[in-house]
Amino acid sequence: MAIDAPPHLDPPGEAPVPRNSGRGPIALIVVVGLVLVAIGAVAWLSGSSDDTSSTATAQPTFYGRQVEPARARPDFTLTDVNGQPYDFATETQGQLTFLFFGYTNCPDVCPISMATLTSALSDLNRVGAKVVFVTTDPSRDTPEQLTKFLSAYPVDVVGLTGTVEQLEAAQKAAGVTAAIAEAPDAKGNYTVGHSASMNVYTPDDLQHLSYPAGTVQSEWMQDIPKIAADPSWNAAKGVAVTDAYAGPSTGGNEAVYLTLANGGVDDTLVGVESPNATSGSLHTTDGTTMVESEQITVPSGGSVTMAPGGTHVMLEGLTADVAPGQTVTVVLRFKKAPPLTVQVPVVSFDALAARIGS
Amino acid sequence: MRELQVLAVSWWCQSTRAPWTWTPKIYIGVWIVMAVILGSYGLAMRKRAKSVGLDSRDKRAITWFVLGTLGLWLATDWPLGLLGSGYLLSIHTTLYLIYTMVAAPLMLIGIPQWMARAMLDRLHGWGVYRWSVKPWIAAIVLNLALVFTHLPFIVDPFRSSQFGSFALDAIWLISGVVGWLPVVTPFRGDRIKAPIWKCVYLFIAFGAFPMLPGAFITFSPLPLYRVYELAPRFGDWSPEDDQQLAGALMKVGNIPILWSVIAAVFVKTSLAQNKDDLRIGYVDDEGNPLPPADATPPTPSTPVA
Repeated sequence: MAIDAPPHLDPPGEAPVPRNSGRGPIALIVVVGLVLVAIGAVAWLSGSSDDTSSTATAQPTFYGRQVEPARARPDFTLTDVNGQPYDFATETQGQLTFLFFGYTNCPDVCPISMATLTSALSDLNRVGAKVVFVTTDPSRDTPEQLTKFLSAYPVDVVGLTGTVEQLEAAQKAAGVTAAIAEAPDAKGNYTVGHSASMNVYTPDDLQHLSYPAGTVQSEWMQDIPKIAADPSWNAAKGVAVTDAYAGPSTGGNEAVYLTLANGGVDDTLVGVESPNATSGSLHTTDGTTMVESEQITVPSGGSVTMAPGGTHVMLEGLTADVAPGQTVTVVLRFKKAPPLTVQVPVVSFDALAARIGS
Repeated sequence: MRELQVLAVSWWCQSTRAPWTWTPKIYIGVWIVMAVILGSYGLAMRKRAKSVGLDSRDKRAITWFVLGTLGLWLATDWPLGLLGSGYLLSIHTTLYLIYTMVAAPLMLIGIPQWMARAMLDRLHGWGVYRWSVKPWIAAIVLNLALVFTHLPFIVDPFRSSQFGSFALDAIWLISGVVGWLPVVTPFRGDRIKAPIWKCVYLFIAFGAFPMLPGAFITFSPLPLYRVYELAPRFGDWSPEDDQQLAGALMKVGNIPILWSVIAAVFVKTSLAQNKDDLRIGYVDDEGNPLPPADATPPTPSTPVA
């Protein structure tokens, strides 16, 4: 490499280099200014035309697109990688859930979308959030292939498959466009056109946000804590208990009355137990006879009121008699919603009679 | 289909978010720029050859310039140019090193003084040159360009457009040339004189400062660049791995070239000094001529003439 020779060895006869003409700083400033203006123009134009940039579509508070009105958590059942049925609504109810439809041979959107989300969840230590990947290419995405694909991500991802009809129904239920497989090339390879959005369901079992392809890890890391902190989205709107009461115990048994209000999907009360009793059951009154019920349906948006002379919870084998002013603990088990633990106040016979009268 | 892909012509490498393929792509802008650079250089040399002839330094310069242009072309065209524009930040950083540490100095060395003078006359560029050749200005320009062309909000939109990508590459080449001006400007009188200061300049301008953005990139907990984070994966590299490698390259990737040049400065200076000594006769440690070997050694009381 031609590195400088000492000055005394410079070739003779070099013509003198023109000295500063005084235009130097001005010319430099003009050149630099023009370059910066050009650069700014390019940056602005490029940035404004980047349709996949979520900053361009960002809402005031979220990078994702807000779904108005919020869409209900979809209810579909597919097959997991172990060959077991997976009821999406039941398995994910009341939990922060990310649902993506894609395929493992996808060359771009699917692996990138899954990587940015799962990396953010891992960094945020939110491994409890549910991430569900539903294949749109059931013929190639075998359970083994799904397992291999999903094991590359830093958090657990549920992989689901099913028949073409089941998958189409699932996509329809989730409100996304059904995937379409392109014609295969000479080698039999093909791509699948599919929805690229990540659907986010919050514990209220609603979808308030949809994230486009191109959401980067830093954006997820900003949004996920905000999603998890939104009080209205995180108030579980499944089954809630109101107006619970019980009369004084008689003969070691206790009848509990309450109202179940269901703000979520259709659900069923399937069991009851109490630490204050040896067993619990559901009873309905048929005329003058009490009949044990296996379950009580609680419809979406509806309520079931238990009252003396009708349906009630029966606790048997109380560990100790309870008197007015005390409480008994009742645990209600549902088919879909997580268990509810209720502290039921014990009221006097007079108060009970007043309720019957009312 | 493959033939159609081969024939797909673009102006400059940019991020497309299309899956990577080894099917070659034609970037006509790259070829045009290389043709313009080499063509204008060749024409100037031809004109010189016809008028006053080419001396040995001109012929050596041609070699350097062609090598520099070859490096520029390799770093700009498919596949490296495309990989660096839209797939891997580590390749983006590698391209920066090739532009500033290989192509720019070689091309600058390949410009003879008479050619540089003619260019500056024609472009009325003496004012800019006089400023740029100052070491502190050159170091600032070089490293401002380094920082500017690695800011995420600059890289993302620029690499997403052909013109923006072209602009980034042009900034790299120009800043590289400016950075090397104090060391290898065709006007030897403008070069940093003392070898030690030349080495200090090279270390600060090309070695020390880039460690700061390099460290920032290496230790960033999140991918910094949307264009590389969202690019279809090239191999099994994750964006985090790629970014760490890129930061490491920025920090230490220049070391082999930089320290080779610094070593060469010392070796060449030493050789030149020896040659100088031979020309003017032996000298002692203080530069005083020594008497012939067969002469009577001077006594301590005898002053050396």
